[in-house]
Parts: sequence; structure tokens; C-alpha cells
Amino acid sequence: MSRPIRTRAQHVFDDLGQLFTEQLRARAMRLSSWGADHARTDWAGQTRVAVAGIHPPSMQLELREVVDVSPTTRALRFARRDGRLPPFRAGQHVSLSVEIDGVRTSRPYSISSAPGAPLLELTLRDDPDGFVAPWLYRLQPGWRTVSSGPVGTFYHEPLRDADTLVFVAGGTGITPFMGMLRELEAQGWPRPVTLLFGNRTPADVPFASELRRMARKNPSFRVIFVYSDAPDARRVRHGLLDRGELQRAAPVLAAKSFFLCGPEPMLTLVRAELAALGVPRRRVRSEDFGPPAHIVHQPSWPADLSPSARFELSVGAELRCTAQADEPLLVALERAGLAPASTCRTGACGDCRVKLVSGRVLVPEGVALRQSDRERGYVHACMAWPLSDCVIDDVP
Amino acid sequence: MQADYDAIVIGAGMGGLAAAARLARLDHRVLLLERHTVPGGYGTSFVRGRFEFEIALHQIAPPMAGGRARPFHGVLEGLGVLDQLEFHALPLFYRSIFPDLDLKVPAGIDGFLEALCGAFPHEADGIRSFVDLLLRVGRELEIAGDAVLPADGSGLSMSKAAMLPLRVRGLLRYSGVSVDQVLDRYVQDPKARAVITQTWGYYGHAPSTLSFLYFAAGTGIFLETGPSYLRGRSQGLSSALVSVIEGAGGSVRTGCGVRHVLQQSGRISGVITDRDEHFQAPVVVSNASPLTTCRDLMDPDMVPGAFWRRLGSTSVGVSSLNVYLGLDRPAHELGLVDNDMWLNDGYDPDRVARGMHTLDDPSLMMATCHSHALPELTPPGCSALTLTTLYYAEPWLRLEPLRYVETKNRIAAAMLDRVEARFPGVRGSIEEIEVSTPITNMRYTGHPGGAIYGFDQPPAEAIIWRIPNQGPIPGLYFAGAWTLPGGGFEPTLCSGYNAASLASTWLQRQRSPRFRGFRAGRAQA
Repeated sequence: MSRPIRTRAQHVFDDLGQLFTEQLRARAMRLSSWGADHARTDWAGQTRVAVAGIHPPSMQLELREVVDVSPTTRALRFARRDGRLPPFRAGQHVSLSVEIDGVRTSRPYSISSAPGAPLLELTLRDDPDGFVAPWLYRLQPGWRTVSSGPVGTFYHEPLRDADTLVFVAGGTGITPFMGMLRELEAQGWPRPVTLLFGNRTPADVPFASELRRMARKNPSFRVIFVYSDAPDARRVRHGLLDRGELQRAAPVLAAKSFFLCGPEPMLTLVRAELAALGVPRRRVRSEDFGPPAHIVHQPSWPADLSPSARFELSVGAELRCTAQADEPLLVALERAGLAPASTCRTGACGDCRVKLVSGRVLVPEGVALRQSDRERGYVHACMAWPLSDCVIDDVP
Repeated sequence: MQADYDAIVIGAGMGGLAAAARLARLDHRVLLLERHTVPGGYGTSFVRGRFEFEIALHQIAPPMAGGRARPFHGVLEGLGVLDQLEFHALPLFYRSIFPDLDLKVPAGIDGFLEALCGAFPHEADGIRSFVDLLLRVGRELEIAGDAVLPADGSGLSMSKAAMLPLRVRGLLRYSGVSVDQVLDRYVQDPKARAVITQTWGYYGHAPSTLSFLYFAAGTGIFLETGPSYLRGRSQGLSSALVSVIEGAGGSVRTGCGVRHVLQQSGRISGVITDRDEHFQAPVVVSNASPLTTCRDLMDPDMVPGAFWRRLGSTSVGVSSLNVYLGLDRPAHELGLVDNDMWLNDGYDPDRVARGMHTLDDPSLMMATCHSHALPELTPPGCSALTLTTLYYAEPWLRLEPLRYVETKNRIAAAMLDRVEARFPGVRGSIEEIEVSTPITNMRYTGHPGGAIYGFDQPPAEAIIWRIPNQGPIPGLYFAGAWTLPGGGFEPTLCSGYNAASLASTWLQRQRSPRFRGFRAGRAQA
């Protein structure tokens, strides 16, 4: 039986009435309360300000102080010229832009000052084989440059990490830990920390006196110095950061989180030793210290390729430059006088992502490439070494 | 003078990518500019350690529904990506967890009805009628979308237009009402209502203020098709669209945003990029919000007052907070066998929704774990879990930068505690963790308020009432969640497709000699 027409008409009327009254009411209310607010509200500006206060995309820096922290290591302290220093997580780094002999490049440096300190401290060693470090090492206060905001994932994360921490540092790998230790000291050592600090000789240990002072004053902090090149020295520990050292430093391994930063051979050794001792991966965090120094040691390096082999690198149809087999594509682009985007130079941030249109490259194991990027031939130029002539689609 | 491009697309989110792909495939010369280094907008992923985390996509409705090709099928075909995508079915629509109730709601109409009518037999009739209505309205939305902008690009004919109101009666009847206003007629038990409307948590509007059409568009279609997930994650979809654009002769430039949209004699004439390059084009499709486009990329006074008044009735929509977890144990060991789980703390959605305007610990959160259904997404022996909750941006915009980390970690810790109580062992298995907030969304997309679905979607601003894809100035078009038909992966892809179809028609008309003659004649007069 069909419904009486009147009832159905009533329903339709109800619905239509509801529709229009709702619409009119909603619009009238909103118009009166918001009016043309959107035209006046600077949404993009508000968004920019909120983001820049927490994650500034760049910072104008001026070098204010230069302090020697060992015979070959120097702390450079910068003031920010375009605002307050942003908050950051102790252990993060900034990417510092430099121009040397017409080559514009950048290097990531861990922040060795604590969050909240008035100056931003970066620490580096006078590496005679380096390109950027020796140049920075000789700078005088007053030098100005631009850096990225603080970035990186090497920090203590209470949501994930154990409450007892073991830091394993090699040489200038101490820098992120200095930021963390100085922050812990300012907070009154809320969690116990052991630092296992490897260096070549007792004569050249960055921050040695500050670390000794911290350890003397604070029972929650212990520092163990280990030297690889001190065979005849008495009263110091000689050797590598191997299983024995790790067990002595951290007797109950399971309840601790390990943070590693230092040269690649040290990281490889310590990671393997911790795995052998049964420490799960989630308890081991490590900071990559730049791209592999010797790409030829990678297992996927072709045996018949000379490290000094030169290839042609083309960018689209217009640009051509030379790329050497033992240098990543990013360096080839920088040598050609281009200014490709890059921040971390360890393959993590993806700022230098490019599409490899043709050619072959070596991408070391463990580079943070997305699955779809792998499948479609995208690489991070800082972690891709040419194995043939290559064409990429654009300058990152 | 010949312009540099036929169309410039600002932003490589889903809307921008779809618009550029469609325009390039219609043989227009297209330049897509994206400020970020990776295209995709929210349709992307990031890598931490040995895990790759999905940013945004929880579920997507596959293009086929029981042997029938949905209009979305035609859109994907028109975009040229259909053969590049693999849709993997997910077993569960969702699981609703309340303090005193735990209900698994399977994909598919029969399973949905069985679960709900089984749990609430006294409401069975009402639930069935409500689901019928959802399905009907969901279908009518597809009919309407297909009629107005068919995938074959034929446009709206007079005969179709005349018949349309009859074919979409339900859609018109319910276009001005909220979910609650409809549900009031069918289901009374607050528990049953909470489970049926559970997916409101995706949208940030409680059922009392959420557009019924928008809810039906999502739920109705998912009920029919069941949910699925994409191989290669949402970044796979974004990359597929980039390859279509480039394959069809278009250009995609990342790491280069737009600073200004140029106008000449009341029409769009091109853009100036961040790097101060000038590009001329008669069409600009903006995947940025209309607010950003009209206020920051153009002189606001050059935008007609009527459009500002139209925008005046909108408000910036909800943003999100996500906790991305890489776990070093397989999902089944932790009991994480269901793909999308809602953790509720009560049956009053209005209270929950009010909390989204504060920085309080969330009442409602979602725990998404695709690892059990799709183990290839995580390394062997591991699983990935994403905890999601929604917040509006205002309190985050006012937050003192020094308190940011402590605030987000306090909220994340509360969410982890809730999960740990239900699934013991999660906290002790965390190998990687990352917490994103509305600030993170703003940082990477630049959207006002870090909005994830563009403008809010109350009845008066959703679906057919949404800001159209055609902008207020000749040559300007909008794509993305801010505009028709709204937020979500399928809607934003459709928005880009629609914007491109409109722009293409307009470009062709500009070129036709008759039109040019008409314009010249008018200029002389």
C-alpha cells in the first residue's frame, strides 16, 4: 500500500524546509561571526611564524668565539643574527654553508652546546686531508654564514630509550654527546650516564678537562677514556672499544640504551660487539658521521673499477660535468659550481633527492631510500657514487 | 607572444599531481612547482632506520566495487595511473574499542550489518535502514560526480542535467543536514550510534556537526567496496603521478615554490617562483589553499569581494597528531592483528570533539597496523603501528616553542599508555618512534593550521556546497581538499581531475578562432 500523498508531500516539504533553513542559518551565522576575517587573517604568516619558532628553515649565524678544546680541536661559537636560537634536542646537528675557492658546499656539524645556551657551539678537528674543516678551523670571530635549523634524529628519546645511557664516542664523535651531557648537567643528572671515549693518544682528547670535572662533581656520570695509540703509557687504558671494554663499562647491558658516534670503523666494531652481546637493535642508536670515507671498501664496489675513474654527469639536456668514481654525485655537482640542496649528507634527509635518468650508481647498504624511490630510480645524490656516465633530471 | 606554459600547477599534493597529470595527458604544456623536496604533499612516507612510515593513508576504496567500475576507476584511468597501482584489500573496516565494548566491524555490507545488528539486536531495523540510506546516498554522489564531470571528459549535457535532480533525490534531500539529524530517525541507543558513526574520528567533526553527505560519501563507498591499501604506500601513488606527468611531456620541479601569481587585465598571466623566475601561463591551478592563494600569492584586493564573502562562511579544518612506531616484534605477537582500531573513552562524541580544540590528552585515538595483513610493508619479524588523533591548530600556534617537545611527548606518552593497556608489549618493542603534530603538517605542507582536509566540513560547507574548483579570476583553478569535493585521497584526486578538465575546456575555448574573433571584436568596440 502506498503512503498517502499528503504525508509524502509533508516529508518532502520537511526535508526541503530543513535543507534551506539549515543552509540559511548556518551561512548567516558564519557570515556574521567570521565576516571577511579570512581576508585579514594572515594564515600563511601565522603558519610561517609558528613553524619558524620551532623549526627555522635557516639561520643567519655570526662567529663570536673560537676556543681550543684540544691541541687539534676547536669549538666555534655562533650567535644567531635573525632571531633567538630555536629549541632543539641535544644531539641534533646543523648544516653549515660555506664557499671555498668558488665551491659552494655545506657540512653537517653536531651541536656541542646544550639547548638554551646563549651561543650555538660547533666543534671540529683540523683535518689536513679535509676540504671544509681546515678552512673553518682558521676562521676568526666576525665571520658570517647561513645554516639550516637544528635537524637530526640522534637524541635521547624518553618514549623509546632506556633510562640508563651508555655513550660510546670516538674522537670528535664526542660533539653530540657534549650537547647531551651539558644538558643533563643543567638538569641535575636525571638519568645515569657512562661515557666510553676512544681517542688516539692521551695528549689530544677534546673536552678532556670539562669531562673530568663533570665526572668528579656528579656521581651519576662516569667517563672511561680508552686510547688506541698509547702502548707504552701506564695509568691509561689502551685498546679498542671492544666487547671487554663495553662489558666493563656497562655490566648489565639489557637495561641500557647505547648511543654511538665516531669514525666508521669504530661504529662497525661496536655495533657488531653489542649485537654479539645480545643487545637488541632498538637499544643501539648511532649517528652517521658523513658518507663512507672509502667507498671502495663497500662490498658492492666493482673490483675492476679504479677509484679515480672519471665519468660524465649530465643534468637534463643542458649541463655537463665530470664525476669521479670515489666521490658522490653531490660533490660532483658542487665542484661544477652548482649549489645543490643538501642538509645531512648521510642520505637521511632526502633534500638532495634526484632522479637517475640513465647510468648506474652505487648506493651503499642502509641508505634511507623510500621503496617507491628505489623502484623508480630516485637516489640521494649525497649517497650515490657513479659507476658509469650518468644523467640526472635536475639539480636538487 | 607565446606563453611559457599552458598551465602552471602550484603544489604537488594529490590535487596538484592529479591536475598536472590530467592537463599533461590532454596535451597541454604543464609545469608543476613544489616547494618541498619530495612530491606528494600528505601522500608520502619517510624512512627511519629499517622502517618506512606511511604519513597519511589509512584506507582507500578500490576502483572496482563487486565487478562494477566506480567513477573513481575512470578518474584513475584518465590520470593514466590505473595500471601502475595495486590495491591490497584490508580485512577489517574498523574495530571499535570502548571501555565496556569491543566490536570488530568487517569490510562489506553483510559483515557490517551482521556485526552491528548482532551487537545491537534491538536496533537492527533502524541500522539496516540507515545503512541502506548510506549506500543510496553514496551511489548518488557517484552518479552526480560522474554526470557533472564524466571521466570521458564529455561534460554535462542538457538531457543529463535535466534528469539529474531526479536521479540524486536523496543527495538533495540530505545535503543540508548533519549525521545526527539523520541518525535520530533510525537509531537511538547511544552505543550503537557510537559504533555506526565511529569513523567520524577521521574527520574531526562530531556526528552532531558533521555533514551527512560527507560521512555517507566515505562510509557508503567503503561499505560497498571494502577498504584497501596501496602497494608502495601513498608515495607510490604520488611517484606514479609524477611519472605520468613527465611521460606526457610535463615538467615537475621540486624544491621550488611560488612566490606570486601574476595577473594581467583581470586574468591570470603566470607566476614568479621562489628563485625569482617569471613563467607565463594563462592558467594557474593552485593546490595551495584558497586562503594562501588569494591572500599571500596574490594581491587580496584584486580578488573579487564576493569570493572573500564566500570564504567568510568557511573555517580552517582539523589537523592531526601522529605517533609513528617501528616495532621489533611481529604484529601477531603483540595482538595487533586488526588493521584499523579506534580507542574510545566514552560515548559522547561532542565532548571528544571539544577536546580537539585543546592541548589535552586525546579522548579518541586510532591505532593503525597494516603489518599483519600486509607483512611486506615492514622488515621480517617487525611491525609498524601508527597512532593518530586529531587537533585543531589554534593552541599549537600559540604554544611557546620551548614547550613544544614536552607537549607533544606528553600527548604521545598518553597515547602509548592507552595502547599498552590494550596490547601489552608495544612499549617495550619500540625501535623507531617519531611524533608529528599540527606544526609538522604546517612545516611540510604550508597549509593554514596544518589542515589535513582543508576547510571544516559541516553540512553547509561539504560536498556540493564546497568551494568550487573554478577560482574567482579567469584562468585560476583550485585543486585539493580545500575545494570540491573535499578531503581524503579519492576526493582530492577527483578535485585535481575536475580542475584540470575545467581548465582544459577553458584553454580550448580561448584558442578557438571563433572565440578569439569574438574577443578581438569586443576589444575594438
